[in-house]
Amino acid sequence: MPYVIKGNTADWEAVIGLEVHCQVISKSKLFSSSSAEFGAQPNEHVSLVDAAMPGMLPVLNEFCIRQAVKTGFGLNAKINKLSRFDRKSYFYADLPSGYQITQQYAPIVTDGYLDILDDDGNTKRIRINRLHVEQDAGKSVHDMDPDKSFIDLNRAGVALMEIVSEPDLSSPFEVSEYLKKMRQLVRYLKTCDGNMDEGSMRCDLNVSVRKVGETKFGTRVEVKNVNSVKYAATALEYEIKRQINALENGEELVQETRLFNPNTGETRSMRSKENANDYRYFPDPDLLPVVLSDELLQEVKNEMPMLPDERKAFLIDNYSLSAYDADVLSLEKEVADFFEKSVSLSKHKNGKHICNLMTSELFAYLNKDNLTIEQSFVSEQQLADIADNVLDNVISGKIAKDLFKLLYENPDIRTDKISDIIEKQGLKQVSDTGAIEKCIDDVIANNTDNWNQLKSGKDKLIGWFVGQVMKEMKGKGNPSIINELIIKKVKE
Amino acid sequence: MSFSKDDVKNVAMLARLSFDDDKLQKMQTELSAIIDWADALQSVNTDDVEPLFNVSDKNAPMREDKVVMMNNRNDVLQNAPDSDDNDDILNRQFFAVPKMIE
Amino acid sequence: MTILTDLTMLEVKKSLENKDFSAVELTNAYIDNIKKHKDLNCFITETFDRAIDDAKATDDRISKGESLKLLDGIPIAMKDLFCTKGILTTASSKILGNFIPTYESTVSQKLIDVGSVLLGKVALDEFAMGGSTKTSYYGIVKNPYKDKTRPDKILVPGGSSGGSSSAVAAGLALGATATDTGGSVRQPSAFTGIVGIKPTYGRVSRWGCVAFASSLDTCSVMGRNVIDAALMLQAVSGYDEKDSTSFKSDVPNWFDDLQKNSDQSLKGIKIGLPKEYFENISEELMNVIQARINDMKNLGAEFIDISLPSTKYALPVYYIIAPAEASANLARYDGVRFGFRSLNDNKEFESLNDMYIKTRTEGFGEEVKRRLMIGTAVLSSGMYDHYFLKAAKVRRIISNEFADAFSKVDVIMTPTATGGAFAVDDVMSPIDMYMNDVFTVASNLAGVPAISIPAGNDSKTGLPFGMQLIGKMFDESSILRTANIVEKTVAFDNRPSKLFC
Ligand SMILES: [Mg+2]
Ligand SMILES: [Zn+2]
Repeated sequence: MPYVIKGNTADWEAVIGLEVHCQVISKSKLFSSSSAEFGAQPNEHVSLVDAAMPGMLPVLNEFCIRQAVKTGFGLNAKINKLSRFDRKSYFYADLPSGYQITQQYAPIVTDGYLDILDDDGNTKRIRINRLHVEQDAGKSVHDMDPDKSFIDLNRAGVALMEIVSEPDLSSPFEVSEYLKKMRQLVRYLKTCDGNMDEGSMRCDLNVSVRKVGETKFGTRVEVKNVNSVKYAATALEYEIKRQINALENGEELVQETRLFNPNTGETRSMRSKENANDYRYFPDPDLLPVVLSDELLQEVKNEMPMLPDERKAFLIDNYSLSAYDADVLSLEKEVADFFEKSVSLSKHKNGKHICNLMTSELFAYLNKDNLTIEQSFVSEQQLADIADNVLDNVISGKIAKDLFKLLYENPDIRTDKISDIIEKQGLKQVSDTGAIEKCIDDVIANNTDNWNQLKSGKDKLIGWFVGQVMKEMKGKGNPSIINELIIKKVKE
Repeated sequence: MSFSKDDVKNVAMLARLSFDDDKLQKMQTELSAIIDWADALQSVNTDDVEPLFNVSDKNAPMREDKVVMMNNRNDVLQNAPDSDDNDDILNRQFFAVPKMIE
Repeated sequence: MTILTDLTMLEVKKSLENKDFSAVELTNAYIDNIKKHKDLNCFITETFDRAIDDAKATDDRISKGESLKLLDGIPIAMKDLFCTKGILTTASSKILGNFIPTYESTVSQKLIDVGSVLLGKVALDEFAMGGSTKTSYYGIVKNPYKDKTRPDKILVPGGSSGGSSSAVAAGLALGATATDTGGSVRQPSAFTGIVGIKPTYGRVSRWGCVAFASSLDTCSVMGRNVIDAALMLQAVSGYDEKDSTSFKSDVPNWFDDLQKNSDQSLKGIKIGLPKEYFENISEELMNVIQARINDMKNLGAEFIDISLPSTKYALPVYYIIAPAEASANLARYDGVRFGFRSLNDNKEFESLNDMYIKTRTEGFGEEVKRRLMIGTAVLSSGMYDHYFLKAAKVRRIISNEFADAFSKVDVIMTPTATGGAFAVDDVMSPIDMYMNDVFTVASNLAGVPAISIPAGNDSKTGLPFGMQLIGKMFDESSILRTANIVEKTVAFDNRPSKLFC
């Protein structure tokens, strides 16, 4: 079912387009050689160029251009071999030169798409109008003095990619999917860290509503300052409702910019009579056209990793994983890399088993401490070894779990070989039937009631007895042998 | 084309300039005259002519992505209007402006 | 007795090497002249202590027997548009009235590197916008020449580089830096009887030079003769990775070239005379130009009549593109990070916008505001295609016409300006004033190099007239070589001690 909002007078649908700003991963800024790193002291990463001192001139950072091209490839887009930078003029204290250098008339990337899932779980293609490269602005701090604001230009001049979609999105869910997909893509490509909390990925929503069946677009409202996937959905739900209510009450909507307030979940109009948007774009005369050589395009192409959708399919095909598992593993490129490396390092090459260990054990610990896979306390080799030891019946599945806990809690053994740890800690599985039988007898002696019930036909209790024996043997008993022996004893 | 008083006021606002009534009047006349004069260009046939924004026919040179700090914070804050009238630590770290309200 | 400030750079270089006098003595002679001619008001900032230190450094090198650098000991003036580290840099504007750069422009650094002596920073039209230097916030600059027919009148030194031209002409500096966006080095050179060369766009780095119109601004130089100008140009030219529009190629050795080609022949040189540049000029100017044409013919030059039909559109194109670029370039003067901030009668500002508007309204002069208004208007919504984009297209046509012309000729010759220097109080409308640039703007639009040299004097007023030689892209050599030869045929005395009429 497509996303339809029932109003009092009609059924409505939403038409949504997104502008996503992604801060480009690079060492230095787009047009100056000062550091683009996050988190410095105020104004420490500001060059004379960033502060727009008289006579300062921009010089383009090639890496930022490559990053944009790479993202363009990722969006299946057309890479324009000739693009240009334009000036967008407006006065604001965090915009030192009084203009932002952006690409208005001839962007570097056009006509791409991103496939997402719609509300019904079907694939939907969202067209990308363009990706252009531009400068970020600085930051204003308002809460340190009653009559002054303070300006920090550390971010001024950092490269951004602005990715503009066509108005192909029609629900808060689709928008969430689109944002997640975009974030996943740029993180795969390492062109943006996708960190919405730190503002390295931000989005503006263009929203209008119309009656179902209508083909004309309604009045468009731009909602700014939406800095998380969740906020995007909240802001949209609010804004769609607001617009429908207004229209149903016979009000006229105005084309305007609204600000989203994350605290209230509402949007409000920006009073900006003085900033009637007239940006006076024109080509920046300090910069010449950007012309991309075939070599550069080929080099970037050669650096392209397998993209998320492709990676997922690859995992399903090559490791016989379920779609669900493949989805989980391909969410982040690094996770999929970790998985594949671990499988390749293992003897049994059992993807499903390694996947299970990752998703059930490893991820639980990583999530607990908010760690990424790169910060994992278990190496690919160790994971492979744990899996192999289980499949070789050297340790039980229970001991495998314990090993993760052991490694998690004891940083000093993290570099040890798994086989040494198993040896040293005496974790080897016991398959000696004599020892197991003795233990079974003990358990039976202590649980005669249950044993009698089992004997009289309550088969479900087999599992319970296996568990008790395992517990008694501190997890080291071979569960299938235990199982076998108990069944034998019941029949005696 | 001629500029109305409101047009001139709007342009002045975009340029962050203000003119008192006399000067606004004068600016209106001059601006209209200059734009009229520039309208001579409309008679030139520029079909199929590529605009020329910069005479250099080379492409934008591109620099390596390397951090080089050519200056320190003092250099950028040195000339800041509010920086020496008080020794507030904030003024030595930031540019200070009148309170901005959104 | 030798008047030190009358000597040319070549003579000075030789004398310093021969120890006829020291660099300090020479510098002091210039300092004395500057003090004597304070009424010309060329300097906004004098850097005499620095000059003496620079000169001492030269003298040290001489006494140690080191070989002298290109401009070692040469006292120069710096147009106050070039940022100089630790020295006030105003662009002749109130808005930069307290601005002390923490950096050195590429041009001024290069001049330091070749041993020149910095006498100070000289005035210009505010932000280089003008042709008279009347728009300087620091008062008008006078032309050292007087009009015989009205000797009571104070004449403008041209502009925008009027402080530079007046200082070089009057012997307050041996050479000067200048900038040329629409004629700002050539017209003042013509008005003061000196040589000014605007090189090819991209030949000299613009880094650290306060921007007016980035696609047209050309850092330039002035001297009292062609070789002096060539020496200055030699010093400041070259690729600069900090300026994306600067040209990556070796700089020819013009100085050597002029020394070697000092024969008086113009044989084999084809000179184009564009008919559009000779319409509506005075008889006196035409006579002077004709005399130079005859001289050059006698030296073997071949003259070819050519046409640059779109010349008449050059001015409107220029007065759309330059203000448009300026409107963005000057947006940074907002009172936030440097420069003047309105005091607002010691009241709190109502808002950030209030501060912007008051700061810019009080900080900029009339002409700058006029151009900011034009530039903002032609870029505003609904105007871009009709004005800015149209102008950029016509600019292409103008540039192509130059390229066509240079397929037939080596050099184009025109008058530099429509006449000689005008008086400070001559009444002109903004458009009349803009007409001043009529012969010079086209070469900025096309980016080609052009030089103005004294062509002779107005038979009525006695004022110098300039002639302009325009070359192909990156062919400064041809115009310098031609100018150097023509110069010798002109009975024009450019010794400062003979100047004041
Ligand atoms: Mg946007
Ligand atoms: Zn943007």
